Amino acid sequence: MNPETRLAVKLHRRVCLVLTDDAMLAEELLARKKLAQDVAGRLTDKALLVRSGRVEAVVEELKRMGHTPRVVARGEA
Amino acid sequence: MLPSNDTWSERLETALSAYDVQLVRQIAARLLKTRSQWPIDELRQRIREACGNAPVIDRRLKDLPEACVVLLAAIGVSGRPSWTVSRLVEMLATLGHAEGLTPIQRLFEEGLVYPVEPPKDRKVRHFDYWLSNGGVDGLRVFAHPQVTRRARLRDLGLPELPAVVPARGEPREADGLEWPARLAIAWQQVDEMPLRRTMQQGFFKRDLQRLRSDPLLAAPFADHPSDVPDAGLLTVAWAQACGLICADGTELRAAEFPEAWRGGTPALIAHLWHSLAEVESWDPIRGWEVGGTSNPFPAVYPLVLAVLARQPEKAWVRPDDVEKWLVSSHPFWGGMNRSPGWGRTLLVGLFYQLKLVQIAVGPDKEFVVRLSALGRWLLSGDAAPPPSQFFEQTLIVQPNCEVLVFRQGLTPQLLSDLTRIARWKSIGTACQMELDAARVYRGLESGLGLEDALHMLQRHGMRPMPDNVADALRTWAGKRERIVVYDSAALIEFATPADLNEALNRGLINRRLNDRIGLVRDEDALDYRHFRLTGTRDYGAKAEQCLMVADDGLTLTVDASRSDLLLETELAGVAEQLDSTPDSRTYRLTRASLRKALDAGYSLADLEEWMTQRSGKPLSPAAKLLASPDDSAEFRLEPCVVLHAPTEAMADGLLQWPESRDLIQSRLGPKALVVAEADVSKLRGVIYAVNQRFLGG
Repeated sequence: MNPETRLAVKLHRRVCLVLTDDAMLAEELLARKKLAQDVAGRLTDKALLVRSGRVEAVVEELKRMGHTPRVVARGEA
Repeated sequence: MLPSNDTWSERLETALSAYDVQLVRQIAARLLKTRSQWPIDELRQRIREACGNAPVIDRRLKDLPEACVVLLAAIGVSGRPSWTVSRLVEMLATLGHAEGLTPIQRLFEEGLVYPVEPPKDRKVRHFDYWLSNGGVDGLRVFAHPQVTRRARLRDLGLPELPAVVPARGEPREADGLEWPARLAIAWQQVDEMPLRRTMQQGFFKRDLQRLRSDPLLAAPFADHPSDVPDAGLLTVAWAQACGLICADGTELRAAEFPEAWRGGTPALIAHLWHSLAEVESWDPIRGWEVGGTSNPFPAVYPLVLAVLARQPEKAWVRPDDVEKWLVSSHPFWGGMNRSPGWGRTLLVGLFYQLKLVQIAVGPDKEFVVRLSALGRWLLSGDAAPPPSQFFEQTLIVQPNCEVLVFRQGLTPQLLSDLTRIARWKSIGTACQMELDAARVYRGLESGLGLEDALHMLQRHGMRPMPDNVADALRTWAGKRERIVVYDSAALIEFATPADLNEALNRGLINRRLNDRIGLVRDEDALDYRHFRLTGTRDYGAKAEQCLMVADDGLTLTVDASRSDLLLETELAGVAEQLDSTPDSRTYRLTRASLRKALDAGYSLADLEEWMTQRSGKPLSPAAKLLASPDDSAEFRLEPCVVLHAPTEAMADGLLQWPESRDLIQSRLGPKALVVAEADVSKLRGVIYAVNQRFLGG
């Protein structure tokens, strides 16, 4: 492909997402009722889509489960 | 950190833009001595530039009454360009100019002080007009630092206090780190558990008790010639005033360490000194008090330092003499004879720990004070602080994860970095901290990188860091990478997997999520020259309508340009996929899919709401039919006699006329009525009775 070619894409902005290290961990999170209700869907086996505005609640619930999630805010590398 | 000169210039411009044209012309005539009729925008620009023009300012100061110059000088000495009008009136009265608002009004009209927040809804025409918006307690004015810098050269008329020869010659000076360390502790405690405030901006009883007896915040000073009442509560209020913690609704939460914590100790102390005047709920007499009598001390602090600066550089004075002068001059005490006794607490407690004053033992065993080099620098307005010694190796990391920190080499930057990653255990000449998983996690979450933390501990360590501690830090940091939460990621959906691979090769995508979707951490860094957007979806906004419903009420076609990632998962829960191409995706609502959705916990109302949100139409009757539970409806088949009326009006007449209406069972259409077979002969009779024809039956 010509490196100058512009790729047709659809941009999804301001997506709230949880990425896990492995699929089993994603399963574990989905099995947690309080967390599952804030998850809008499973994008891949390791990526969960979070409902808009529910990120803080998800992070708090993850901490209650004993996890220490890395929270990446907009613009952070 | 106080706003820079540029910020004050911008504020000045904002204030001028809120002034009426006549007022701007009046200020220009006085400040610039303009004779020509300049355009108004040019006048504003010239007024702004005049603030940085020393000869112009000096000429104006020469023409002003003494009270006005003293007021500008006092603002300059305080180091805070912005004060409430009431505080300025207090300061002026203390300095022997009890002329009320008159000097402030004159400076306002001369264009030398401006409102911090001018009214937005109407133009300011004159001083009284602006004053009527708030009142002296609420309204704040500012004088541009470049103006006060010229005025501070003037004599404030402060008294020379009796000099005292100390019993022992050697002066004591604190390291200035006591308050920064306590503020850092307050930050850490609030970071881990936000504090709740009452409606009156006080603390609830439990927090109040805890802050009064906290083993760290209320601990005695390492070098404590004098105590400070309610030190823990003062620390929290001060931390809020200097931007270390911030109000979030009714809670106080940890903020980022302000810029001043990245400089040297003098710069941080200057920052803390300037913000001390914002602490209204603490004073050195009563300690913590919310909503009680008014607190005069915010305006007293700069005057105390100014009167010390007035004394010969080597001269020592008694704190009581400083207090006596203020009590006799300040309108709050109204010249009372009895001394309230705050001089020692303020000077030997608060200011000594801030390194603003030196102390020595006086002839009567009481402490005497004089301004330190740092205090003198603070009042001078000079850019370069006095030099200080710096020891890089100042901590020891022990194998049990405890960190021993010696204050000789502690800098604000090191203090803030350590506070982010290690838990405070004790404060003293050597401070004890501890690295633990929870604190390290919070430190990393606050933006401190693992390598930065390791480098900091190694660089400042007096001994090499034990391997087990470095391993523990790496393990805790690694655990954090197991789950990553993006609160606002950008996902790029490609038409084909090949396109995604190409984007990865070009380095446009940070991470592949599946064969067609890639993740970009920073949307602002996206290079749009490589992309042709076929659609954009904002997940912070309301869900868009992106489904088209066919005539059958069951077939759903996705509008790919407007759909979002949530739609796919939502559709999978309520419909079956029929067809999928890069350009078109089709689904169908079936009884099985709809029943599955209802069994999963959705109600029919939920499905209706979702369909309205996604397609703009309610759930179709066909879908409702398919979604109805088993055995919930009964369909009956039976023969019936239909009467066809010649017109719709005739049918209405039969339904309205009492003789005939009881014989009609129901209406099938505009002209078709259902009649019970047994009533046919009666209906015929009724129609004959009005002399009309009846066919059939």
